[in-house]
Amino acid sequence: MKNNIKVERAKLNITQSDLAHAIGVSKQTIHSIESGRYVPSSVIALKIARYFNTTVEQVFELEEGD
Amino acid sequence: MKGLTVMYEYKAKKWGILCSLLGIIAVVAERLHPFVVFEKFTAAQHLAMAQWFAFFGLFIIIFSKEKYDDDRAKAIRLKSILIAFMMETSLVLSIAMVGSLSADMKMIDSGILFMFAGAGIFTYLLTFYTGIYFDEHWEYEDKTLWQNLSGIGRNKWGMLIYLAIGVIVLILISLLGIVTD
Repeated sequence: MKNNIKVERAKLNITQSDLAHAIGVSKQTIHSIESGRYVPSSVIALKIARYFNTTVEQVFELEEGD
Repeated sequence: MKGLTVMYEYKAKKWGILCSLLGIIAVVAERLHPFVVFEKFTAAQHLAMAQWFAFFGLFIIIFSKEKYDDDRAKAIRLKSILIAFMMETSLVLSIAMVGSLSADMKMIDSGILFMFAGAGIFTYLLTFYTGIYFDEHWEYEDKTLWQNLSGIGRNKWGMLIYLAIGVIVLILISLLGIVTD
Protein backbone atom coordinates (compact mmCIF):
# COMPACT_ATOMS: atom_id res chain seq x y z
CA MET A 1 0.00 0.00 0.00
CA LYS A 2 1.39 3.36 -1.07
CA ASN A 3 0.96 6.51 0.99
CA ASN A 4 1.51 10.25 0.74
CA ILE A 5 2.33 10.91 4.38
CA LYS A 6 5.76 12.37 3.57
CA VAL A 7 4.21 14.79 1.06
CA GLU A 8 1.44 15.79 3.47
CA ARG A 9 4.01 16.33 6.25
CA ALA A 10 6.10 18.48 3.94
CA LYS A 11 3.06 20.65 3.16
CA LEU A 12 2.56 21.32 6.87
CA ASN A 13 6.30 21.39 7.58
CA ILE A 14 6.03 18.94 10.47
CA THR A 15 8.34 16.10 11.58
CA GLN A 16 7.50 12.43 12.09
CA SER A 17 7.66 13.08 15.84
CA ASP A 18 5.10 15.90 15.58
CA LEU A 19 2.68 13.68 13.66
CA ALA A 20 3.28 10.76 16.00
CA HIS A 21 2.62 12.91 19.06
CA ALA A 22 -0.54 14.40 17.49
CA ILE A 23 -2.19 11.04 16.78
CA GLY A 24 -0.84 9.18 19.82
CA VAL A 25 1.56 6.66 18.28
CA SER A 26 5.34 6.26 18.43
CA LYS A 27 7.76 7.93 16.01
CA GLN A 28 8.91 4.46 14.89
CA THR A 29 5.33 3.63 13.93
CA ILE A 30 5.04 6.70 11.68
CA HIS A 31 8.44 5.86 10.17
CA SER A 32 7.30 2.27 9.47
CA ILE A 33 4.01 3.39 7.93
CA GLU A 34 5.68 6.11 5.84
CA SER A 35 8.25 3.69 4.44
CA GLY A 36 5.46 1.25 3.51
CA ARG A 37 6.67 -1.57 5.75
CA TYR A 38 3.73 -1.43 8.15
CA VAL A 39 0.08 -1.19 7.08
CA PRO A 40 -1.79 0.76 9.77
CA SER A 41 -5.16 -0.16 11.23
CA SER A 42 -8.22 1.69 9.98
CA VAL A 43 -8.28 3.76 13.20
CA ILE A 44 -4.71 5.04 12.71
CA ALA A 45 -5.33 5.62 8.99
CA LEU A 46 -8.42 7.69 9.83
CA LYS A 47 -6.52 9.65 12.49
CA ILE A 48 -3.73 10.43 10.01
CA ALA A 49 -6.23 11.52 7.36
CA ARG A 50 -8.12 13.67 9.86
CA TYR A 51 -4.89 15.31 11.01
CA PHE A 52 -4.10 16.29 7.40
CA ASN A 53 -7.72 17.37 6.95
CA THR A 54 -8.23 15.02 4.04
CA THR A 55 -9.68 11.57 3.27
CA VAL A 56 -8.03 8.17 3.81
CA GLU A 57 -8.04 7.59 0.03
CA GLN A 58 -6.03 10.78 -0.46
CA VAL A 59 -3.33 9.57 1.95
CA PHE A 60 -3.34 5.80 1.32
CA GLU A 61 -3.62 4.00 -2.00
CA LEU A 62 -3.85 0.29 -2.80
CA GLU A 63 -1.13 -1.15 -5.03
CA GLU A 64 -1.21 -4.00 -7.52
CA GLY A 65 -1.26 -7.26 -5.54
CA ASP A 66 -2.69 -5.77 -2.33
CA MET B 1 -13.65 -12.88 28.03
CA LYS B 2 -15.01 -9.47 28.78
CA GLY B 3 -13.09 -7.56 31.42
CA LEU B 4 -9.97 -9.77 31.19
CA THR B 5 -6.73 -7.84 30.71
CA VAL B 6 -3.23 -9.12 31.36
CA MET B 7 -1.16 -5.97 30.82
CA TYR B 8 0.01 -3.51 33.50
CA GLU B 9 0.22 0.26 33.06
CA TYR B 10 3.32 1.81 31.47
CA LYS B 11 4.40 3.17 34.87
CA ALA B 12 4.64 -0.40 36.20
CA LYS B 13 7.67 -0.85 33.93
CA LYS B 14 9.87 1.32 36.18
CA TRP B 15 8.99 -0.89 39.16
CA GLY B 16 9.90 -3.92 37.08
CA ILE B 17 13.24 -2.36 36.13
CA LEU B 18 13.93 -1.46 39.78
CA CYS B 19 12.97 -4.94 40.97
CA SER B 20 15.09 -6.73 38.35
CA LEU B 21 18.10 -4.45 38.97
CA LEU B 22 17.94 -5.10 42.72
CA GLY B 23 17.62 -8.82 42.03
CA ILE B 24 20.59 -8.82 39.62
CA ILE B 25 22.74 -6.86 42.10
CA ALA B 26 21.78 -9.33 44.85
CA VAL B 27 22.61 -12.30 42.58
CA VAL B 28 26.05 -10.84 41.72
CA ALA B 29 26.75 -9.99 45.39
CA GLU B 30 25.62 -13.46 46.50
CA ARG B 31 27.85 -15.09 43.85
CA LEU B 32 30.91 -13.02 44.82
CA HIS B 33 30.49 -13.20 48.58
CA PRO B 34 27.76 -15.61 49.71
CA PHE B 35 25.88 -13.97 52.57
CA VAL B 36 22.85 -14.64 54.75
CA VAL B 37 20.22 -12.04 55.74
CA PHE B 38 17.55 -14.37 57.11
CA GLU B 39 19.11 -16.94 59.43
CA LYS B 40 16.37 -19.44 58.59
CA PHE B 41 17.69 -19.81 55.01
CA THR B 42 21.06 -20.86 53.61
CA ALA B 43 23.22 -18.76 51.23
CA ALA B 44 22.09 -20.99 48.33
CA GLN B 45 18.45 -20.27 49.19
CA HIS B 46 19.26 -16.54 49.33
CA LEU B 47 20.75 -16.83 45.84
CA ALA B 48 17.57 -18.52 44.60
CA MET B 49 15.48 -15.74 46.18
CA ALA B 50 17.61 -13.08 44.46
CA GLN B 51 17.19 -14.90 41.13
CA TRP B 52 13.45 -15.08 41.67
CA PHE B 53 13.36 -11.35 42.43
CA ALA B 54 15.30 -10.54 39.22
CA PHE B 55 13.00 -12.74 37.11
CA PHE B 56 9.91 -11.25 38.75
CA GLY B 57 11.12 -7.76 37.75
CA LEU B 58 11.62 -8.90 34.15
CA PHE B 59 8.16 -10.48 34.24
CA ILE B 60 6.66 -7.11 35.24
CA ILE B 61 8.57 -5.41 32.38
CA ILE B 62 7.16 -7.93 29.87
CA PHE B 63 3.59 -7.37 30.99
CA SER B 64 3.80 -3.55 31.15
CA LYS B 65 2.52 -1.47 28.28
CA GLU B 66 4.81 0.73 26.20
CA LYS B 67 4.60 4.53 26.37
CA TYR B 68 2.88 4.44 22.98
CA ASP B 69 1.19 1.06 22.98
CA ASP B 70 -0.11 1.38 19.43
CA ASP B 71 -1.07 -1.22 16.83
CA ARG B 72 2.52 -1.71 15.71
CA ALA B 73 3.65 -2.41 19.31
CA LYS B 74 0.83 -4.97 19.62
CA ALA B 75 1.80 -6.64 16.32
CA ILE B 76 5.45 -6.90 17.41
CA ARG B 77 4.39 -8.13 20.87
CA LEU B 78 2.26 -10.91 19.35
CA LYS B 79 5.09 -12.16 17.16
CA SER B 80 7.62 -11.90 20.02
CA ILE B 81 5.31 -13.96 22.25
CA LEU B 82 4.96 -16.57 19.49
CA ILE B 83 8.75 -16.76 19.08
CA ALA B 84 9.30 -16.98 22.87
CA PHE B 85 6.59 -19.65 23.16
CA MET B 86 8.13 -21.58 20.27
CA MET B 87 11.60 -21.40 21.86
CA GLU B 88 10.36 -22.34 25.33
CA THR B 89 8.10 -25.18 24.17
CA SER B 90 10.91 -26.63 22.04
CA LEU B 91 13.20 -26.49 25.06
CA VAL B 92 10.67 -28.10 27.40
CA LEU B 93 9.75 -30.84 24.91
CA SER B 94 13.43 -31.57 24.22
CA ILE B 95 14.22 -31.86 27.92
CA ALA B 96 11.08 -33.97 28.43
CA MET B 97 12.26 -36.31 25.67
CA VAL B 98 15.78 -36.55 27.11
CA GLY B 99 14.36 -37.05 30.62
CA SER B 100 11.88 -39.70 29.57
CA LEU B 101 14.63 -41.73 27.85
CA SER B 102 16.95 -41.45 30.83
CA ALA B 103 16.00 -43.12 34.09
CA ASP B 104 18.87 -41.48 35.97
CA MET B 105 18.25 -37.88 35.02
CA LYS B 106 16.86 -35.70 37.79
CA MET B 107 14.25 -33.69 35.98
CA ILE B 108 12.81 -31.08 38.27
CA ASP B 109 14.85 -28.79 40.48
CA SER B 110 14.75 -25.03 40.92
CA GLY B 111 17.71 -24.53 38.57
CA ILE B 112 15.94 -26.12 35.62
CA LEU B 113 12.74 -24.21 36.40
CA PHE B 114 14.70 -20.92 36.38
CA MET B 115 16.16 -22.02 33.03
CA PHE B 116 12.68 -22.57 31.57
CA ALA B 117 11.51 -19.18 32.84
CA GLY B 118 14.71 -17.49 31.63
CA ALA B 119 14.44 -18.99 28.13
CA GLY B 120 10.98 -17.53 27.63
CA ILE B 121 11.67 -14.20 29.33
CA PHE B 122 14.97 -13.45 27.57
CA THR B 123 13.75 -14.59 24.15
CA TYR B 124 10.70 -12.35 24.46
CA LEU B 125 12.60 -9.30 25.75
CA LEU B 126 15.31 -9.60 23.09
CA THR B 127 12.82 -10.06 20.25
CA PHE B 128 10.32 -7.41 21.34
CA TYR B 129 12.75 -4.58 22.12
CA THR B 130 14.86 -5.30 19.02
CA GLY B 131 11.70 -5.30 16.93
CA ILE B 132 10.14 -2.18 18.36
CA TYR B 133 13.21 0.07 18.51
CA PHE B 134 16.00 -1.26 16.30
CA ASP B 135 14.81 -3.62 13.56
CA GLU B 136 14.20 -1.62 10.37
CA HIS B 137 13.14 -4.77 8.51
CA TRP B 138 10.67 -6.37 10.92
CA GLU B 139 8.37 -8.76 9.02
CA TYR B 140 4.82 -7.88 10.06
CA GLU B 141 3.13 -10.45 7.82
CA ASP B 142 3.44 -14.11 8.74
CA LYS B 143 4.12 -16.39 5.82
CA THR B 144 3.31 -20.07 5.42
CA LEU B 145 5.93 -22.82 5.74
CA TRP B 146 6.25 -23.14 1.95
CA GLN B 147 6.69 -19.36 1.50
CA ASN B 148 9.32 -19.41 4.25
CA LEU B 149 11.20 -22.25 2.56
CA SER B 150 11.05 -20.70 -0.90
CA GLY B 151 12.32 -17.37 0.47
CA ILE B 152 14.91 -18.97 2.73
CA GLY B 153 17.63 -16.46 1.81
CA ARG B 154 15.47 -13.48 2.79
CA ASN B 155 14.31 -14.98 6.09
CA LYS B 156 17.57 -14.64 8.00
CA TRP B 157 16.09 -14.02 11.45
CA GLY B 158 13.62 -16.88 11.06
CA MET B 159 16.45 -19.19 10.04
CA LEU B 160 18.50 -18.00 13.03
CA ILE B 161 15.64 -18.91 15.40
CA TYR B 162 15.21 -22.35 13.84
CA LEU B 163 18.99 -22.81 13.99
CA ALA B 164 19.08 -21.83 17.70
CA ILE B 165 16.30 -24.32 18.47
CA GLY B 166 18.12 -26.98 16.46
CA VAL B 167 21.37 -26.37 18.36
CA ILE B 168 19.55 -26.60 21.71
CA VAL B 169 17.91 -29.88 20.68
CA LEU B 170 21.25 -31.30 19.46
CA ILE B 171 22.98 -30.30 22.72
CA LEU B 172 20.22 -31.98 24.72
CA ILE B 173 20.38 -35.11 22.56
CA SER B 174 24.16 -35.24 23.01
CA LEU B 175 23.59 -34.84 26.77
CA LEU B 176 21.33 -37.89 26.56
CA GLY B 177 24.36 -39.92 25.52
CA ILE B 178 26.31 -38.66 28.54
CA VAL B 179 23.42 -39.27 30.95
CA THR B 180 22.61 -42.79 29.73
CA ASP B 181 26.26 -43.94 29.72
